Amino acid sequence: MKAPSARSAGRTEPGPRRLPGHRRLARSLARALPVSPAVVLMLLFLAGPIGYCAYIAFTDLQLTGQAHESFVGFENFRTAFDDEDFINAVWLTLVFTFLSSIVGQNTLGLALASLMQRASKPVRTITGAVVITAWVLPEVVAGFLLYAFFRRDGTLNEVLDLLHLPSQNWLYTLPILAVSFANVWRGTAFSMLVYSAALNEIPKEITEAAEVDGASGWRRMWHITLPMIRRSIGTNLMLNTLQTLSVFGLIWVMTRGGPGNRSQTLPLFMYEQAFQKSMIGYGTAVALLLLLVGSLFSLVYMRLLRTEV
Amino acid sequence: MPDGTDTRGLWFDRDIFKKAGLPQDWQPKNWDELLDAARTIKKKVPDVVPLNVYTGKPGGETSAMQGLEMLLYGTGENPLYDPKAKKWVVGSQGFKDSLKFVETVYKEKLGPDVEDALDPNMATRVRGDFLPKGKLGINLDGSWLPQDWLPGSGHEWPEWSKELGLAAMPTQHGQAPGKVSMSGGWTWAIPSKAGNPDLAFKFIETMQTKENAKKWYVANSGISVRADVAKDPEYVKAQPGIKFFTDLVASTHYRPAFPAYPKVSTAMQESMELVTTGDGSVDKAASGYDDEVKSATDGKVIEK
Repeated sequence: MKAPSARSAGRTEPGPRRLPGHRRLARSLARALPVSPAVVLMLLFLAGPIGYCAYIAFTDLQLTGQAHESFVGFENFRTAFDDEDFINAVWLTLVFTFLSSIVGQNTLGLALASLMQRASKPVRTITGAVVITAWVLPEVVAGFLLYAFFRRDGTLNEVLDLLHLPSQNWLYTLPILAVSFANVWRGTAFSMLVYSAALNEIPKEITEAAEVDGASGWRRMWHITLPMIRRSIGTNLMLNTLQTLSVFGLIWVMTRGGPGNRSQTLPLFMYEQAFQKSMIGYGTAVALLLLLVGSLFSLVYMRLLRTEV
Repeated sequence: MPDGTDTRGLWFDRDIFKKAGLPQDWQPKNWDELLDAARTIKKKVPDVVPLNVYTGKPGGETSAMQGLEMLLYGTGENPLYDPKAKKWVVGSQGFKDSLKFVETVYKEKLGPDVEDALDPNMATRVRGDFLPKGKLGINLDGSWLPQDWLPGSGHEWPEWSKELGLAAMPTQHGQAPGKVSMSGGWTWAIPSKAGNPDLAFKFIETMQTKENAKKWYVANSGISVRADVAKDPEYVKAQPGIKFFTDLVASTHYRPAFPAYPKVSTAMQESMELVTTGDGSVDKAASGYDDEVKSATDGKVIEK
């Protein structure tokens, strides 16, 4: 393993060549000099705002109409846990993340990637192009397209009518499902790309050996492919989940979190509190809680990544 | 420097009114007459939407101002904010009655389907689709609608002035002055730190000459704040209805111009949405509104 020694090179060297204290310090400073602009920038524009956010989450700061804000301790968090709309948003966020990221994007991405391994080149090119187009579309455009697809006189119902099937309006009846589907539509490309790369890394010999041993397609998938791309699955799940947790534009364009608040996930709830009701302190507290949800997911995936096969 | 204003009223489809046997010079005297007209349309012309009242959070300020406030300000004096006490009004019967009106519209299916009403693009669809295609009987909306129908605009519909009639929104029981309207408006201001305030003022002067102001109001279906333009035959004739809406200025109301207003507006939209979807009763929606106004205004409320 190279990593540890590479890391310690940046610090003072504990090695056998002991230098006098002041020279060691001078050398450390000289070495720190080139990175200091970057560090200052990071502190100023990354750590600064984050620290400020954490601070205002503990105040009752409002956007308008307030003479002074004051420090209120954990009041915002207490309000959140007493607020049934907040609890509703947490549930919807979990449903949305589970459906669209873990089940949808992840599984569909893997399925597409493994199907494309076996597909002919033209099929691969076309499928890849279509899926990736959905991914590169700006979020608002994608949101509007799916709004137009799902709405009552939208494309989906035209198609269903043509097939003499009953029509739907999921934007109204099952909005969380509609926005989850939209997120799958938009985000599957990313998983597909990750898994395509991972599948290409599996040495041919191993698959062939399994084939010679008479392992069927499913068994090869379960016993060979999945364990071998385990790390990619972990990475992909983590990136997917974190991205899905913070999806805002897509849902905002499609439903504004409605009807009622049946598709109001945490980012939309946060926006409503902070910018529509101007309670920026409370909104920021909710943002911190969202961060907490995200880090819980990350922890689980990190563990998954660490386990060696 | 005031620039222009707007008013709100009822637009109705003459053809649908004919089919429903309602008069062409229709002017409801109170809320009941308005609802009765909608019920008549529902019965006689079943395939159209009888009455549109904007509602819910997706519509934003449109729902609050064109919707609930047009009702609320017809229930009595200062129904939203008490300027003497300098407090926001909560717990009023007028507010409940206004919500009850919204509930009635959607419960009796006099309004658009709830899924349409809560569509974020409802206002655009009303102007571009429902009204021009003759699918909406009565529409509670703003004076500026024709800007979408002028030649060269998104939904050209020059025939609108023959196909649509106008009526003032009545007060709840027809109490004086009998009609109600809400107005927004725009002003031009020169910041105190402006680099060249004199030139900026000259710019505003040029923009607000009688000729230029007239051109501007005609082009954007605005309502003149210059009395001489308001009397100018060219302005009056430029758009049928402009006189109607200009005259409504006499009985119009303005929203309380305080920093808390946007939050109060959101609370109104939420309470409307609750009774529109039927997720909550009028009482529940009204008490939710009261709570939210209390917290939004730091408790500066007065019970009425």
